[in-house]
Amino acid sequence: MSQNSSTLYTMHSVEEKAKFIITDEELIGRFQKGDENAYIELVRRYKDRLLHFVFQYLGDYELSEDVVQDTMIKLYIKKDYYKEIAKFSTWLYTIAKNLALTELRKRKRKKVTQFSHMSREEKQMEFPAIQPETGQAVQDEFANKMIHNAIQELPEHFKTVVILRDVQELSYDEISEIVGVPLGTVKSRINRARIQLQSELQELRS
Amino acid sequence: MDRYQFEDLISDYLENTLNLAQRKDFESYLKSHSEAKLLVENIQKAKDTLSSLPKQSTSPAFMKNLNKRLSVERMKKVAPIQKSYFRFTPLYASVMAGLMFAFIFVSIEIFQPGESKTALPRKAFADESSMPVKPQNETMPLLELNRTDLAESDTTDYEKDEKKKKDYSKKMRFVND
Repeated sequence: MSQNSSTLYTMHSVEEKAKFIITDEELIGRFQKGDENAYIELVRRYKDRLLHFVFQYLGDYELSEDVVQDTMIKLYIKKDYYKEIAKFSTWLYTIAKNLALTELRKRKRKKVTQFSHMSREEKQMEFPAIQPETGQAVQDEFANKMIHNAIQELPEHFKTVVILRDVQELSYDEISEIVGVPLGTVKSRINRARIQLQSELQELRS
Repeated sequence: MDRYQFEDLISDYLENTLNLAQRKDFESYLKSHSEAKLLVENIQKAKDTLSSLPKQSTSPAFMKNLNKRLSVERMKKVAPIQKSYFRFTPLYASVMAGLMFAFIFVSIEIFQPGESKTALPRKAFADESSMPVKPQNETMPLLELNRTDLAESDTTDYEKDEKKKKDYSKKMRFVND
């Protein structure tokens, strides 16, 4: 009896919770009406997800955090631009993607300028070889760095879709909306990006 | 199935979205091509690595910094930027303009009155030098000159002279008059 009641209680609490879970679209609706707590909740929900996404793009933690902050500021200023025809997450990812792309282009321009000033010896890239005695954590870190470098080698249009699909695990439809290309193109890009990514990884490993 | 068809279907195969016939075709291609099988395995590995990348989380200072930036944005909303004249607010612009006028007025008062009272206008010297030298024995037709003309010719009041020269308005007559 007591077990039954506890199960019932659990079920009830789950239902209650479900009742009180407010969707992103409801939150942005409230924020548009002036409720700033709704904005705080949206920031809380998305800050880490967006950071993970932007970090794969830029590979620099601090810079990525700045981009996420810029995204949140843009959300605050341009809240009225959101219309409920699209999912809120899609809209926010689009903002973050565009800001990350802008940052990436800025950085590329800087890099090109710096690289052209470097000597031939300095231009040689260094990838440390995996030593058998190194710890698991170090090896993991190295593997992550390698995959990150492989991502960086991808063209922009491949990079975006592969991060959104395989890192962020978004649906094809969402990716199609964020990137603004048809579903078929997204599928084909993801396929080609994966093939290219594995060949980049092979190259880096060898 | 050729190589291109095979490559197009890799993602669908890995995500299990191929229909039965396509799947059979794909798997038979994999059996007959060892390098294709290796490629699919490598892609699967890369895909798994991507999805298992360590999740990033924001620093504890994130919300604090965001709040700081938000307060700046709120301030902008509350007090919209005033109209500015050469980057001065209307108050400062009017004060600056007043000061400028005062400066100009004082400058004029300091320099102009002294010049007009003491020094002769430069024009007088210029006219004198350009005047043709008359022979000494040539007598001036003084009788022909009017006394008022003489008095007027000996003055530095050029403004009057100019007015006199230019004031044709009374003599002007229009066709319809």
